[in-house]
Order: sequence, then structure tokens, then C-alpha cells
Amino acid sequence: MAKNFKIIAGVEIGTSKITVLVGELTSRNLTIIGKSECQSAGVMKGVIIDAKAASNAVHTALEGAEKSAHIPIDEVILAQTGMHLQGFKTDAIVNVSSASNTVSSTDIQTACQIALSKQLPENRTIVHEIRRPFRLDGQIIANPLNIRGNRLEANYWIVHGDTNTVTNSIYIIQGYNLPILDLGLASLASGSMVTTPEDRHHGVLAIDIGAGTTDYVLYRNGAAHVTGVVPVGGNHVTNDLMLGLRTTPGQAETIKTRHGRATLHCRDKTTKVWLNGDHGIGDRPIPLQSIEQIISARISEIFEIVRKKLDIDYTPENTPAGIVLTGGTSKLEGIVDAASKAFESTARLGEFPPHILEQLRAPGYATALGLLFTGASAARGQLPPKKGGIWGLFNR
Amino acid sequence: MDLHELPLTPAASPDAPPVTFKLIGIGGGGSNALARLPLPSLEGLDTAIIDTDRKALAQHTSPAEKHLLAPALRGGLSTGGDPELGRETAEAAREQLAPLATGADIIFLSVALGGGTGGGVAPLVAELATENNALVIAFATLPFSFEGSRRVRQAEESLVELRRACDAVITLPNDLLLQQTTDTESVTDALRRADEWMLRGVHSIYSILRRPSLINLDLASLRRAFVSRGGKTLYALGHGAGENIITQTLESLKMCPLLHIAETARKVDHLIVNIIAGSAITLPQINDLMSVISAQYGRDAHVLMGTSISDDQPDAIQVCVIGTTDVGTRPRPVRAATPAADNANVETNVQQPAPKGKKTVIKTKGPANQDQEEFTFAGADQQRGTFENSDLNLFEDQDLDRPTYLRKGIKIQL
Repeated sequence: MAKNFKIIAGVEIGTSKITVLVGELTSRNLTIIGKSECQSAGVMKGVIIDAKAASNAVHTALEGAEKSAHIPIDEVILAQTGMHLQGFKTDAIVNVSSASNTVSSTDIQTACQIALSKQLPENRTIVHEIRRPFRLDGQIIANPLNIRGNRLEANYWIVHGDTNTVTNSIYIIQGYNLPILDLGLASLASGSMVTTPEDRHHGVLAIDIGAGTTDYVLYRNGAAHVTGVVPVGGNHVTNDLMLGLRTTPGQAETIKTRHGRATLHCRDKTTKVWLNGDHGIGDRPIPLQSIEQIISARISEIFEIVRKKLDIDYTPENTPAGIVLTGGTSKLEGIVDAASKAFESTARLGEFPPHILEQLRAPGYATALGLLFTGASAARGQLPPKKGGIWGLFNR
Repeated sequence: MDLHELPLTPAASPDAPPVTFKLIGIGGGGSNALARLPLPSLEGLDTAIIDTDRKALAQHTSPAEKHLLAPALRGGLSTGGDPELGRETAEAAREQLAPLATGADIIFLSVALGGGTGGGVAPLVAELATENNALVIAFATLPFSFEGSRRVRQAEESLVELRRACDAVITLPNDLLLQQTTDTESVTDALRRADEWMLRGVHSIYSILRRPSLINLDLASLRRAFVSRGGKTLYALGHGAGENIITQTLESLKMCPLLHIAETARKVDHLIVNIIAGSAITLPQINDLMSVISAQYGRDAHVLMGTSISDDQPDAIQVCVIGTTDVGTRPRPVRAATPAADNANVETNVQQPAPKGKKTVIKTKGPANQDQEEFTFAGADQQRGTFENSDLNLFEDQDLDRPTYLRKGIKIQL
């Protein structure tokens, strides 16, 4: 029996939380029909370090998602992050072959093939290939087919990861007896949700600060230009507070959510807040300024690192739509100001497109939502299957 | 003999000769620290300074013996911050170092890691001292993050070697020093504070063993605490005075900048607690202090305690806590009992073709090899908190898992 819809799930195995969103995909649209969230385990800085613990947590989340959607999941789109991911740009130029100088589909294919023919080092797997717009004689042309020109240039941003780390996460999903439809970059997934097509056309930088990692994507000319991961996130803020204020991890977390601020606001050394707030044994006053100093140092460092990694790709001038922040840590007070200062540009918190349901409009859902929406086109079979990479590994 | 006439200290008993100490400053930073120390003349504590730099050595006015290392090889010049040169010099000067590392039961090393001489020479001195059956406790200063990644890396490499060679290594990261300073404090004052940390450690162990004290510790029990080497050493200081003296002391101990580690990492197997208190201290007070300290830092710990009364400050308490952890279950190889084996080891050490300095040391250390993996994170270990056992998170040679404010030298007021 062929059904005319498919149930796909976007899964993000995060450092603090595992998020699963279930979507019903028809040939026309995608409807979110189920969600599940649970405490993560065995994941540090975006990478699975304890497969068993992570596996249990993910399976619980998948089970919950199927329950909430009242239908079994067919396929999974899995987010990838972690410091093992690396990206590089590659390009190829071909001379337009036809006598009439119009670009043929063979020209496009050849250019793409040459650009993608780069060999990866051993133990590296392609996680995502992002095609930047074609250039014909140096001009950006979205679809060069049948357009006159001499030199066709194909550009790609290729993200590859450590094969073992990537397969570990895939095995966990397969352990639940679910096939993987696609892998998605966490940065790209959340970036696609919190930016508008206009933003992406003008140039925008989307930064998703999670618990374990900070994923960013810089859009230009309507397409992703560069992506990256900084393996630092909200957990580092908590850890810094714990060490700096000599507290337990739990107390540090509470302080972060209760009094945390990403910018220096309190100028008064004598303003203090209570550690536990219950005035019980072990409760003690802590200077608010110290809390802000610790957090702001960490947050601005994250932004500085992102900016350093982007290098010449980012300038305030070529990113007029500014900075968009999302992810759990973006709930931190003052983080927009911190971003704005670090990038010398405007910054704002990411907002979801109007078609997203009210209860899914939380920064924590950005990645899973993005996985579903960006993955939907792949699921409809509109894109040709990728060659090599992870698929070579699993389709054998 | 009347009960009241019983000797109170082991030092007084005729069959146990008093414990002797030696404090050796190695390399530029190490000897500077030693020279800066306002060392009270402690009986039975010898001091020595070892350096390759003739000029630097000449500048010190301290009464310590000075030794210019391998003048023939180095020509009285420093190693220029090159640990390779430091190691070469140390090997060449083995003969010269050997007598320095003798003649004391406990040898303290003061060394600043990150440069050439300190990192290269200190492990060898420790090794020689161990052969002479001395207990070796090193105070190692780690460079500021702003001194550059190269020095930080060199320091961590040296620290790994030093940990293998010493009974205990107490690290004093300079980054933490910044946390202690006030805005108006001068550089010299700030550095003096680091020296003071070291001084108090030396002083505590000295007074445990030499001063007449209420509750005594002897060398054998101290050795027992340092039975397994290579592990991390917990080191914290606290003080209190006036009203609420016990709470104050405990609070100050908890806030000690040297305790910049995750709560779980604070639990140790052996605790050495030295309390220097004014004569007003009561037994219940000591009891309160000790029970909290052992609950906070001990994991079913073997607690060694020394208490002495000092009337310099009648209503003040100073506490020094040193903790060691058993690494695995393997006790250190019995020393001095098998001098032949030890010597053989040393011989091969010299004769080996020695491809590259760092490897030589690791290879010739035979049994220590098993522990190698455990020290991958040496150095930064105390400041990574929950990320302690995860891979280094390097960006531009900085470990991002360490708190930003520490690396950037932002002072956090508590």
C-alpha cells in the first residue's frame, strides 16, 4: 500500500536536551504533528561520549515523539554539530561548451562534479555540501541554464566530520530501527528558521548558542556562505560560574538563569545576590558584578571566536542584515547587546516565520524545525542522491 | 618517669634525629621566588639556588648557597627558555647536581615552569633526591596565559615530567594569582603573594615535623601520604581571626584561589592538615574545623593532622590543607631498597642514543609508562571543572574549556 505521505522526524541530539519533532510530509506541505523533548545524557560539547547513555535518552525521546504524533516515524533527519566538523570551500571553472555560448545542463553538471571531486583525508566523512550561487563570467546567476556566457564557476562550502563521531550518532538512530533520510548541519537548520529570505539575500549571520556548542552560518546572496562550530556554549558559562564562585554545578546553573547577564550592567561592587535564595545553611551573598563579569567574559569571547573564524568573510558592511541569535543560551539577558558590540552591527533574537505554531516558537526548537523544513525537499525526492560520503558507508 | 615529663615532641627523643629540610630554587623564576622569600631562619632548613645564568645568580642577595649549573657547557648563560637546552644541561650537570640533592629528609623544590632551566633541571633534581631517599615536594609556578601559548605548552610538558619525578607537585598557576590581587597592588607585591603561598606550604610541613606541637606527625606518616606519586595534589590555605573564627577560617579555605577545581575533584585519599593557632583555641574548635575539612575534602580519607600553637597572633588561625590521591592501586616502586636497579636505570638513561629529549625521559622511566595516559591533561586540569576529562578545546592555543575570565586575567571578587 503506497501512502501519499511520509512521517519524518527532525532529531537533534544536543548537549543538554534531545529534541525530536515529527512532521507529516505530503507532496505539498509539511505539518508538524508531534514533538518530544528529553534530558540529554552522554553528550559533551555536542559530541556523543557515552553511546549507551545517549542511546537510551534518544530512544526515550523518539518513543515520546511517536506517542505524541500517534504514528510511527518513517525516516529521520539528524542534526550534526561538534568541534570535529570542519568546512572548506572548493570551486571549479568550466568553459561553456556549446558553440552558441549558452550554458547547458552538462556544463553545470561538469562544473559541480569537478568542484566536488576533492578527496577528503582518511576518516573524514562529508556531512553537508552547500552550493553557493553559480557565477557566470564572474556574475552571480542563480540558475545559469541556457544563459549566454563563457566561464561557468561552481562554488561549494563542504562540511566534513570525523567518521567515527558521525557514525556513532547514526548508529543510535538505527538502533531504534529507523533509517536516516539525511544529515543536517545544526547551524544551517536553525539559521534557516530564524532568518528571512530577504536577510539571507542581503547577508546575515545566524548564531545558535546551545548548551555545548555554538553553531553559526553566514548567508550571502541568498545562500549559506560559511558555516562553523565553536565547541563552547551555555555549559561553559555554568562551568565558569561554578569555578569562579565556588559553587556546585546546580547552584551555578540557577545563578545563570536567575541573575545571569551577558553584559556588564551592575557597576556597584556592593550589590549582592543570594546563592540559593533560601537563606538556609550554605547560602551566601555573591556580588552581582562578579556574576556579570564571568558571563560577559565568556559570551563576548564566544562572539570574538566566531568573528575570528569568519575572518574576512564577515564585515559589518557585507552583512547588512546583522546578527540573529538563537539557541537556549540566547535567552540570557543582554546577549543581543553583547553580540552587537562584538560584531559592530545590529543584532536581534531570532524570530520564527509566521507559519510556525505558537508552542514551537522557542529558540530550543529552531534546529529541529529547520531540519524538517530544509529536509523536506530532500524527502520529496527532488534532489538527486548524494554520491560518496556517508551514503557510501551505509548503503552498501 | 613522671607522666608530665614525657617528651612531647619526637625531635626531643634521642633515637630519632630531627628531620632535615632543604629548599632548592631552580631556574630563573624558581630561584627568584626563593630569594624573595622572607625566610625566617628555620633550624634544619638549608636553602640552595641553582641556575644556568651567572648574572641572574649574582643578583640574589639571599643567604642560600648558589650553584651555577654546567658553566662549561652553558658558559654562564641562561637556556633562553628552551626546555630542550634545559634538559641537556641537566643531563650534563648530573654529577654537579647529585650532591645538591642529598643531605635532607624532605626536599622542597621551587620552580617556575614554562622556561628552560626550571623545567629541564627540576625533574632530574627530584629524581636524584628520590634516589637518596628524600621526600620531594615541588612547588611549580605555571605561567600566565598572556605569556603565550608556547610557554604554557612547555610548562605543561615539564609538569608531566615533574609529576613523575616528585612525590608531590603543588601547582601555583599564575593566572590564579591575578584573582588575588587588588587594582592598586604592584607587580612585586602580587608576585610576593605567590611566594607566600609557597612559603606557607613549606612552613606548614616544616612545623608539622619540627615544631613542638599538640598533635604530632612524623616523617613516616607523612611519607605514607605521599606513597603514590604522579597524582594531583590538592593545596589550599585558609585563615581566620576574631569572632566566628572557625566559620571564617572555613570560608576562607573554601575561597582559596588555589582550590580552583570542580567540587568532585576536591576529594582526596590522604589529607594533611596543619593548623597553626593562637593559644586561645579550644578542642571543640579544632574538632569543628577538622570535621568540616575532612568531610569536604576527604573521600574516606586518611587524615594526618598537626596542630601547633603560636602566640604571634593569639586569636588567629591558619590552616594549610595538602591532599594527595592514590593513582590507581599501584604503589610507587620501592625506593632505595633496590639501589642496583635504580642505578641500572640511570645508566641506560645516559647511554641511550636519545632521539629527542622529551621521549628520553619518558622511555627510561620504565614503570611510569603505564600512567602515561593519565597525565594528558596535566596543568590545565585544575581549572577545567566539569570538562576535566574531556578533550582539550583548543582555539589559537588556548583551552576554551578553562574559564575565560581566568585566561583573560579578569579579577572576580567574592
